[in-house]
Amino acid sequence: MPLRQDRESEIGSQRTEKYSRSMSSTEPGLMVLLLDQSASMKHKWGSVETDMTKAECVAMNVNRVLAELCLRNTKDVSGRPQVKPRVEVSILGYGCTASTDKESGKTDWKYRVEPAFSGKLGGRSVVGLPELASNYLRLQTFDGKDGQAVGRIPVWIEPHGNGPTPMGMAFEKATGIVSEWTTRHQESFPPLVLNFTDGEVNDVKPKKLQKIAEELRGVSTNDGSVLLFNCHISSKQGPSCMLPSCTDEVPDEGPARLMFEISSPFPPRMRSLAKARGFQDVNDKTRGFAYNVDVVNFVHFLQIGTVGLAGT
Amino acid sequence: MPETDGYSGLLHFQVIEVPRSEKARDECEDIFGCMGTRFAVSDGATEYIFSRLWAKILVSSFLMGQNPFDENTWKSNVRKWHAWSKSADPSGSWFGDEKLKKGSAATFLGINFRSNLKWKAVALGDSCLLHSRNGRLLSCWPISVDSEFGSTPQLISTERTPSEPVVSKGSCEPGDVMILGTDALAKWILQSYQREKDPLKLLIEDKEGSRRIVDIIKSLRESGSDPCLDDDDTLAIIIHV
Repeated sequence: MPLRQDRESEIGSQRTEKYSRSMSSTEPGLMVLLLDQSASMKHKWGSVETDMTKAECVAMNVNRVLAELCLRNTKDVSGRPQVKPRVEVSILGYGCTASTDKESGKTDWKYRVEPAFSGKLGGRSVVGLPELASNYLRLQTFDGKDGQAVGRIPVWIEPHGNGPTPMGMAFEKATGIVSEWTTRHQESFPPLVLNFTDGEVNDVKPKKLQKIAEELRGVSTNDGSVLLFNCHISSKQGPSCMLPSCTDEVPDEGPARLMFEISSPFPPRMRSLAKARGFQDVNDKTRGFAYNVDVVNFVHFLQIGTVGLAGT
Repeated sequence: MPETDGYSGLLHFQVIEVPRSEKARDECEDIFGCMGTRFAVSDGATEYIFSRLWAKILVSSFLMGQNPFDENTWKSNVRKWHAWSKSADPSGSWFGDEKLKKGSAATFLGINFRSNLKWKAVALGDSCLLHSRNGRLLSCWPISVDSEFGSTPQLISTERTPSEPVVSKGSCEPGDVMILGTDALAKWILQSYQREKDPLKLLIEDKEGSRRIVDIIKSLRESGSDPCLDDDDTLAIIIHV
């Protein structure tokens, strides 16, 4: 029976607030991670008390959040643990491949943007969470405080680093992926694109990058436009910023202000997640951007942008 | 109309049970049960696994006259949960293993009526007992203010000896309505009374029309309804004294 007129007006039926949808099995979300795999990612992350390179540290933490995403979406269905298809994941690595001419000995660099999965998922641009959970490279044990092995989590992503940084190409590739995905998921929360880099943009000029990023952010679902967040990691000492709200808060060096300008503002739910992690200055102008951050803030950024929204 | 309608110990009761939008009915982690003069609800925590099973074990235990918060009863219940859940994933997937290590947890609310209409209730978490008379709310327990409903209620877990529950006693009169509700519906009923609306009119009297309760609940979850029902598993036992 249709709703009575008086109840219709009392209840209302239109959802107009953007970025309000939950990621669900019927309306899944898409998370795109863009990982800088240029040569400088092979350098040590100076602020970390380990011997890990930036590429190793990024890969380790990406593997951890993927595992956490799978676990948060694991429920018993018909009496068995299953990972629910609430999220789809795309991970693109961008860097270069080198080929050396045998006669001249000259090395040619070729820009490369490709899915970062290998093994059974090799070459796949987008993978649903249940398939991701069941297809990994190997299981790695992790130790508790007393050094005893306390659990196993999968490894999906391996560290890489070679050549310059074709970020423009990575954004273009991401635009293709989210455009295709949104045609099939118009009722879903819009795709989240998180870009992690340690360097300058080598393949396009700043204005071109702005235009490419604008096209990426212009893709939308009925719940809002693509959210593009950028995180610049660094081993250098120097000015840094985390989740700034205006240009003045961003160091005037390198690509920092450009990267801030192309980053999307945080929607309300993400502001709450950031505040819960201690970023009390977050406001409605805060953008998903971090510059020259250490590992701790990199992990905060990664967690706020992924698990916080895509968990149960 | 309410999905279950019956008598238990001469008390007429109705049950409203609608899972969160995404879920099938058999995935609903809010569980109810009644036997004689005992009624109970338990809300299995979403972030854990086999929470529906744990909630069922707690409710069954109470209906059999046990106190789920008694340490020996709790240990026995935990053994049942482990026995069942560990046999459920013979493939030994990494996500099943890791998730099972975290155990399960649920809220709990149970009430026992005596022949003189006196009652005693025990609770842990945000599942609530609402006492209504002549269309007015007399009490909502153990939460009495809607702002106290949050995302981290107290839970009875398979991994830790249970915290002390809260206990309440009282009496009711013929014609009173006692409601045992899990958080989403309990909060909505409380807010409806606060806005001087009669929630039972919508939930029960509409059964005279042809609207199914699932449609009513769905419409209440739409933004713009006042008060708005959270899109969560939704369960209430409505007992007519």
